[in-house]
Amino acid sequence: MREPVRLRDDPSAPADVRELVQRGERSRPIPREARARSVMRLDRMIVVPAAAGLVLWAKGVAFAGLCVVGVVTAMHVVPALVHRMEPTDELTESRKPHIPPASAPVPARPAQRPALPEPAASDAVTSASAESIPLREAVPVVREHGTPSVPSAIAPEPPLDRDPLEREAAMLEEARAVLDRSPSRALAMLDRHAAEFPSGQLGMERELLAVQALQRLGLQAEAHTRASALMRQATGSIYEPRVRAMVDKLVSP
Amino acid sequence: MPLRLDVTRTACRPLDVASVHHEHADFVWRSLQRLGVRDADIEDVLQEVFVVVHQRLHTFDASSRMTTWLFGICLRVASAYRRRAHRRREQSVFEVPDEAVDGETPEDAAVTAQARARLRAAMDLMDLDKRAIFVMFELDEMSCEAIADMLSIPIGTVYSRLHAARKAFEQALARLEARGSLRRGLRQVGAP
Repeated sequence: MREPVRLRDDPSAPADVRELVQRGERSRPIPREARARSVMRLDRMIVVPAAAGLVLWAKGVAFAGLCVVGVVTAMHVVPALVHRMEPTDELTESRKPHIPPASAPVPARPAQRPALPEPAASDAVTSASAESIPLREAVPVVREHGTPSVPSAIAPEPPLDRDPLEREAAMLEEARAVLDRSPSRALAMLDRHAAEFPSGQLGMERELLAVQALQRLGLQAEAHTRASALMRQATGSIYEPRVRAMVDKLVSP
Repeated sequence: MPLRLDVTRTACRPLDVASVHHEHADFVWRSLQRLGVRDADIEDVLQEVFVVVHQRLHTFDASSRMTTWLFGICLRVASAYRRRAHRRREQSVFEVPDEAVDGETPEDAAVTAQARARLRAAMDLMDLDKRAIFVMFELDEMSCEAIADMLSIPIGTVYSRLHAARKAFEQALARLEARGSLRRGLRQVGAP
């Protein structure tokens, strides 16, 4: 089978169709800046579920720890209850108020208590709780395993020897994150970016954010000046539609 | 022998979304353009594609090429994008591309912009799979063999889809023409 002739080269195709196809735009490769931004967004997407997984894992471990504590507590409570229900003469003799030491063995405790009319069950629970204190210390141990790894997964420290483009992108991402809450802080961050990367690859992205920050601060005139300058730079780039839309929205001073 | 070992290692290496992104981001980017995603939206739509890749990567069984699998995802995501109402509202804003090729006179640039807008409008009326084949062959000048290889389909299927795509393109142009005539006619009789 022969390869079909393309419309642009096909003399039998209508002239206007040929011209349309000839003037048509080929697909363009992904720009470097867009790729860098995409990598960053992807990293965030991967890290957040991982952190969520760690939190779930820590919760699971803590829950298992509590279950163990519960089981051991029950093992102490039941014999104490059973022991209390047995009638014995020794109880009347040992009505002196006496608080046994925490380390005293559980079975001995009911015998040393004053035999008050009702509190058998609650006493048993109290003594069991006292006994279970060392076991509860297992919970912080669980936290020791779980806690440090979670924040480290959510907010990894940026390594110092990162690619400049990545550092640029990270700075801008920080500024973007605070843009809504604190435009002045975002502006300061953007100034830092400008100082560190005077001819950085994400300069246009920075300017775009700066215009948004100025707008939020109510500095319309400055925002307009900066946006107009950016428009001249952005013509023909992937930023053009965004910048144009922004300039259109801005009221002339 | 070392070659065999390498091949085995490559085949057994577990896939992760970062490596898929590293190798195929450019392919996804181009595919989304071919499927009619506007420049202003393409980064967000690219991200949507990789969210799906992240969620569904375990279902990729390597029986077809990665590009084929990714193209399927692009097709679905671009289809959802096309349906979104806001995108239809904004369409007119991006209808006429302003980019002028270096060395063109302003008149030429205007004609090119107009032609591109018309081409885009016609392709927007086509089914996405036909549109993609049409763009790959007619605009990107890919060979049928390369398209068949990329989409893991027989070359005969590429020919038949291309044939159908050209037909759809002609029909779309005719529809556009008819709409334009109707609008002109209404304007002449003073209708709103």
